[in-house]
Amino acid sequence: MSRVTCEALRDALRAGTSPADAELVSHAASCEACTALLAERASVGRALAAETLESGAPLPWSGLETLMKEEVGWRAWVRSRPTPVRLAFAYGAFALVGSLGLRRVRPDLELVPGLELGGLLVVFGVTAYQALGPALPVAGRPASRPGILALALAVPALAAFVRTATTLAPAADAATFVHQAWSCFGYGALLTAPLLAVLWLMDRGAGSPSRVFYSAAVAGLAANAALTLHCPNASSAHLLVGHATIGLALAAVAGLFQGRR
Amino acid sequence: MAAYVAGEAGAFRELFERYAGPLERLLMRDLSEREEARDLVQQAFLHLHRARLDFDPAKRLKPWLYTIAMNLKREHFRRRKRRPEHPDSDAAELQPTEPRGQQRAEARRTLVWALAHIPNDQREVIELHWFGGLSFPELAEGIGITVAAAKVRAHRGYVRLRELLGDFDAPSGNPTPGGAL
Repeated sequence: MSRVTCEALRDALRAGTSPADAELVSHAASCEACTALLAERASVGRALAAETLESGAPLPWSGLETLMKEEVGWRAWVRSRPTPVRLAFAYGAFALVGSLGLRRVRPDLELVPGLELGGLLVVFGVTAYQALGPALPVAGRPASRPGILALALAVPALAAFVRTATTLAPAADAATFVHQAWSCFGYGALLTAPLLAVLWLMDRGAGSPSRVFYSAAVAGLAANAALTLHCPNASSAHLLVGHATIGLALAAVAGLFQGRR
Repeated sequence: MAAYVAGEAGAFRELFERYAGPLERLLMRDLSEREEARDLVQQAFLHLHRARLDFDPAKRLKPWLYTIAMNLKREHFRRRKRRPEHPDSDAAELQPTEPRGQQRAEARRTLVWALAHIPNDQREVIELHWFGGLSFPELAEGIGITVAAAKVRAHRGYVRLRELLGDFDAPSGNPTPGGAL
């Protein structure tokens, strides 16, 4: 006597037959889904079994062949690598950004409490990883849900960012405002460029627009964490124009990129 | 797929010819246009091609391909902002002249309508299990949930379908919507 499974039961219903009663009762007793399928003389099972779709003309191979012929070049090569290799690229970009961020640290960095500094570095790591999230999942497998961990860390990160930036160094004077804002914006954008480059290289085209925007914004947050190690300017206007705009600009660029895909 | 990864170019065409039709029919169930389904099938195979080196020969290809396609469909609806209210254009194409055929077409329209009115996560499980022919463990792995969660979704979906369909008389193909309606 064969053991009835959900699939055997389904296949029997689809074929218009049903397994032996004893087997049915035994399986259905332990399976809510099959119980629902069999309820009321298997009304749902019979309704589903009666549903058939007519086949249209076969889908021509030539359309797919054309798309596959366009899959050439180094980007196609990179994004077709096995996921462990893609992960290695991502971690490489992360290490590059981290080392760039640590090369030019602010002169008063030793005044920043160690715990706060460690927290900023952790936040940088997590946000960098989260920004790369859309590129990492294997095609067909759902990406890890974005946001929960990043958001949980974003609040203390922003608090630490504001506190660190506003309590230590003096504000810049108005004459150098534009220059400093542009410098920080450029440096922050430069720090996130490797992350976005990896994201673009590895993207297999299944990411939703919201996920791409999310990545760009989180990459901006990572840039802000790195900038906190670099920039001693405490001016609110500077932080707003030179730092906070990075995420917005990256999201806008991501939007353009997404629109052209 | 293993042959394709090993360099046998023609193997991918064989896979396409084997799976494209069934996949198109699966996607057609809640897409309003056949062309949309065909485009998604092509995209699914293109993703399969891009991810070919991630293929695990120890696992079946079909669940992987089908979950790629379902993810693409989900993104398609997200981009369009919503699902069609009554994705039954294919049913509308059926214009039978015989009374029996008319009843069956009506039954199909009712079922498509009912499927469109159950929550997305429940419909996805039912589509993959019933119409796609995947097992619960296969579809659970594909959509990233536990087998128990997949069965719970299927159970809730079937219960909701039963409420929407009312007493379905299969021999006559005559559904009588009732219950929750």
